[in-house]
Amino acid sequence: MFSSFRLSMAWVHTWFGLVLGFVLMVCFFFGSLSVFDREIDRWAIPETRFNAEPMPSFDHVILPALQQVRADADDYARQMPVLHDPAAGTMTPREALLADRYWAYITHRDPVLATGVRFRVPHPAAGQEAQRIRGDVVLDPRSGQQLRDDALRIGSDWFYPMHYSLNWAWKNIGYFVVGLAALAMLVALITGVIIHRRLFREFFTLRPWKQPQRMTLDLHNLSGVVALPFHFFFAFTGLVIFAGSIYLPVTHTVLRPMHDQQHLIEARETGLPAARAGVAAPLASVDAMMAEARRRWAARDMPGDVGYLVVHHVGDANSYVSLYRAGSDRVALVGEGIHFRASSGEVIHEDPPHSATLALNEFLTGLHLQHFEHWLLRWLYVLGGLLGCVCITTGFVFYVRKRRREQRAGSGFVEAVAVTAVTGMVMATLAMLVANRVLPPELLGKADWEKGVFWSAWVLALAHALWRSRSALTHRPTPSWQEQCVLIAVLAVTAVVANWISTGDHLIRTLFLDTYWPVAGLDLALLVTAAVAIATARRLSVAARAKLTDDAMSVPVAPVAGAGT
Amino acid sequence: MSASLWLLLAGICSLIGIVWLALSLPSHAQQARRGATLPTGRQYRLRQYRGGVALVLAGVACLQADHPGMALLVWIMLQVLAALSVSSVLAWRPRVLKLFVR
Repeated sequence: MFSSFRLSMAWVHTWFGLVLGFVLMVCFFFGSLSVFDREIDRWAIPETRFNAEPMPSFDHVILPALQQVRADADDYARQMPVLHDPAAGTMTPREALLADRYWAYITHRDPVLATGVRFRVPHPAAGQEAQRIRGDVVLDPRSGQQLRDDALRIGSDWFYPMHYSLNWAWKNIGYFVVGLAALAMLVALITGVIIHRRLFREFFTLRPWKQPQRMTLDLHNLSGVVALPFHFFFAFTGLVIFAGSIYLPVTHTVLRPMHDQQHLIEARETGLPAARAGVAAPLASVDAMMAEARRRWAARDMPGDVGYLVVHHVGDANSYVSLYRAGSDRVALVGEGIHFRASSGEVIHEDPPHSATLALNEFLTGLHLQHFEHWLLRWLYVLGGLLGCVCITTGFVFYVRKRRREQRAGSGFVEAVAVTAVTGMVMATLAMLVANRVLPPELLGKADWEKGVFWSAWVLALAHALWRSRSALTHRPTPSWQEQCVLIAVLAVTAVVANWISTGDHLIRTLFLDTYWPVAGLDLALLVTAAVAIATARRLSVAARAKLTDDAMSVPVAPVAGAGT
Repeated sequence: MSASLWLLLAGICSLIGIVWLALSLPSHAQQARRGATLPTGRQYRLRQYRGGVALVLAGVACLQADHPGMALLVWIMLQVLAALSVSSVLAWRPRVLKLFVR
């Protein structure tokens, strides 16, 4: 089929990149935004624009709030008919469900405290004994006051899930599409190295003075090669993260009996009860347990604060409290769990040092999820993600330009989809931020409106690109890239101005007068985006005019009768 | 020395190391200093050696700033930033690097 191995690898690289590159573009772009997803949440929900705090008092702040929480109405309506054993009679009313588990989570990047209750079903159906109904709340850690939870957390609940699931939850299809794209990314990286003959000699090569086709390929090679470890490890660790839970969930399917058995064995070995005793017991001071946990971590030469806590079997003699250290100084996720008997506060079990396998898994997962507090490394991650976007975009552009020159059918359509996946996606993102600031906060269903604006803007970008790409058939540069760059600049500046008008938080204030970096950082990023978009639009405009001039000058002119005589 | 200063030192060492590695390639050495005679094989190896040493020093500085797991990631990503910066300089202002080419 192909005359050489290299040519066959080039075919694989081209088609894997082209077919799934659109998905990878979404993954890399929203992945880059997700580095600062909590900061975007602060921008989008002005009521939460305050500084992060450590875990507050459980006894005086968190517990009183949790005791007011009731089971979520939607989750109750959806789950209760499935979880309740109909032979036991009528379903327990939502308000009468009893708490089985309390949990609380805080991070250095998120000033709000995420916490909640898991309610047990008194008469569970067979096989549903372990299932619970949720009741989650968001608290101001300074006061314990419950914050409104109906506002869409645009960063952590939209951009971040877009990155790993395309916000397409039906049958987890989005997860599998992203997983397939990650596999294709690994293949594209390896085949790219194979087909790039002069990998080391051209490692730093970028020749902006060459023809656009050559320069595009230089940029594609550069952005792919200099960040090759980043691209490879993020595609790989992305697959590792979901390998056991989504792609191959054997512990909850074919190995379920073994999993349940192991759960009981671990409970026996650690002394952490797997089930309730059915005997009521009080809850001792969790604040004292937190102080003891901090003391033990410091004694192990890893001082830190509580990042995550769980109270199991609430109100029962078998109740125990698990405290996990906030790993903001580590690549690996929270760990070093210490477990206390809830009724007395005595330590039952300390998690032992991890096995090599578990430690490696936690490192790889933590490397990708980046919960750590290291601002330089976070910004370097954004750089890596954006380089991935550049690599994919230049791959599209190179493909389309090559085929347009060869006058291949379909190149116009591919270019239109490429425009939609690149500039269209950025437009949709910015339109959502503008809508967030323009729509009134008390608007019913504001979250749905914001999502509607996002998808609508993206569809409009596609329609615009399809309409303007007709010129690709005439081999002229399609103006949709340039026009959408201008729209990006307009939307980005509009978002900054809308934030100022709606909240009073302009850049002078957030940078100098009352410094608040989450909002200032996003405003600055928006302005830089606008500047880059305008510069790109101008460069494309110059290139388009030059191309038109070349085309005009290359048209042969018929000699005028009598000229030259 | 504070962690920030160690990281700054790591960034500088990374940049210098990548410059040396880039200029060990004949095409880039000629970009930086037009008209210069092509360096000998020994000079190229010397630049590669200097580049390698600078990158190792950058790694040591990263280890002074953070624990090993974090330091490894910072070190790798600093090379990415340095390589991108040097490529951009070679593309638009190559003569800035002529001091490294004798």
